[in-house]
Amino acid sequence: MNKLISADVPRVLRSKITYIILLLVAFMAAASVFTTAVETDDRSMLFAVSSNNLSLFLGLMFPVFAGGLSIMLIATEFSSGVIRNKFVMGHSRSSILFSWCVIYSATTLLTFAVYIGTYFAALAAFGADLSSADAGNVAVNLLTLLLFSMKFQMFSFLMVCIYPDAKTAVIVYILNNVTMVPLMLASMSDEKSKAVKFLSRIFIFGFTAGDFTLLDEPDKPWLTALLITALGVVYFILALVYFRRKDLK
Amino acid sequence: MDYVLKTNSLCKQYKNFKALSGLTMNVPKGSIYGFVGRNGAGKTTLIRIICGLQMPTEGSFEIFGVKNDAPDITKSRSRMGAVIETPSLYPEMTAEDNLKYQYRLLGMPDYKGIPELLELVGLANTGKKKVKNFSLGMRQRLGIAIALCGDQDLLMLDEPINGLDPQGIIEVRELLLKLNREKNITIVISSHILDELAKLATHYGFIDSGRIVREMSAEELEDACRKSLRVTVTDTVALAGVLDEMGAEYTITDDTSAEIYARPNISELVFALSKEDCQLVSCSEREETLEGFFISLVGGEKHE
Repeated sequence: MNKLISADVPRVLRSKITYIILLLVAFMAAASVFTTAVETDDRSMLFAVSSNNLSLFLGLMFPVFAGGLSIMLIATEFSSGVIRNKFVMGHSRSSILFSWCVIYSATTLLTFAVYIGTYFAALAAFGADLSSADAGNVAVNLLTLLLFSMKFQMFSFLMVCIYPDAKTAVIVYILNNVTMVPLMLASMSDEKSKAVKFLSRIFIFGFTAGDFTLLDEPDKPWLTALLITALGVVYFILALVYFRRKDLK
Repeated sequence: MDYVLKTNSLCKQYKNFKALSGLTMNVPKGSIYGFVGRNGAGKTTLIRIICGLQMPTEGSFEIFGVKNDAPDITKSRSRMGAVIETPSLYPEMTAEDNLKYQYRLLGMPDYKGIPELLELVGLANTGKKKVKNFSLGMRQRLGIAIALCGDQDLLMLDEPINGLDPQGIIEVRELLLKLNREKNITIVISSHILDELAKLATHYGFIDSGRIVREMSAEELEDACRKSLRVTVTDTVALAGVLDEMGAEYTITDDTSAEIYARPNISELVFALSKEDCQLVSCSEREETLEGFFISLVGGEKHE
């Protein structure tokens, strides 16, 4: 697996798509602070208000960017046929999938770091007052959002194993994410059923009880983390089972 | 005889289609094994199975003596290179970068062999030109170079001259002959361009409807496709008598013509025939092509 990782990491780092996605998320982070700063004169509220946009983006859009990046890069292996070389050289299907898991979890982490880094840099640039924020709550919420993105990464592996064509995989992936919108809207309403609460914990981020802010005390973060991790593992196992049985051309 | 690749009753069933039905073949070490068959006969399916892209439904195979279900099959595969249908290359990379990627996949300690490989396939001067701007022939040669990374002992090439211009075909042919002769690399080459294959192969496997209908060496094939003299005469009985006297091997094909599998002295033949009051009407040299032999093996009625 080390050989696969050492071959693919330089390719990912040289790819234009990687930098386009990184620039795009950095722009989104800066824009979320900028638009809030334009509307809010009170710098003590800047973090609180902009973190709504931030968590909404991290919950809904970020996984699409991070997962889309991995789908496009993996699909290139299929479309160029280079994945065949990996098989011919004797790399097993499991080691190929695990190498993707390592590489693209790292790109998700990098993309996440760029987004959060740009966000806090923009807050500092606009003179936001962060003293009232509970650092523990913010950290736990950010970590859960990162876990949430990782779960989507596993889902993207499943998508690309089923649809090795980049366009189809990205379209199906986005469609799958869009199906969360009704759930998100339901979780934003004042009266939430137990089912919505449970599902929004897995598919949105129930740890903030639907209010989408980094500042609130998370609701049972360990349960959310456990459920998200379990679902991520299920996606990965399904991807592995599918990939092992798949006939490739 | 040492065999680098053996298959035993290999079957591959897709949903409603049986691509391989009990295919058994043996590829001798150091040979250029021509794998001949129509489109859809199962050539590419077999190569995909050998390369690990697909799993056989039934049967087994051995690469360098290691069975396909043995844990060491991955090690055996690492001694093998392949170009399946189209060369597997990153179009946005240069030739050198594609080879470096392959070297990293193999875990090679350095890139020392790359200039030699590029030289070998005639791509030493491509510099920073991206693969997407290469001609088909250049891509094919780079595909072969990639398959050769790591000093492989076995090359599996699926239709490597498809779509190449005459110059490209000659270049690939010369490269393969060079690899076989100088580096003793065993090459399995599938093709339906039979005349081209005839210039390369030392052994043949004829495949039809997912099974090998005949395996033979180039010498055996040469015997089967041997030259003959087709003669038309006024009296085949007289001709038969003359040829029997001359000790020549022949076949009477109809009332007026015959095939003679020897090179008789034409003057002597004409003189002997005239003594029997028989005239030689026409005479032409005939040689059965690989194509003709293949059609005679699998029949010519099916076309896909």
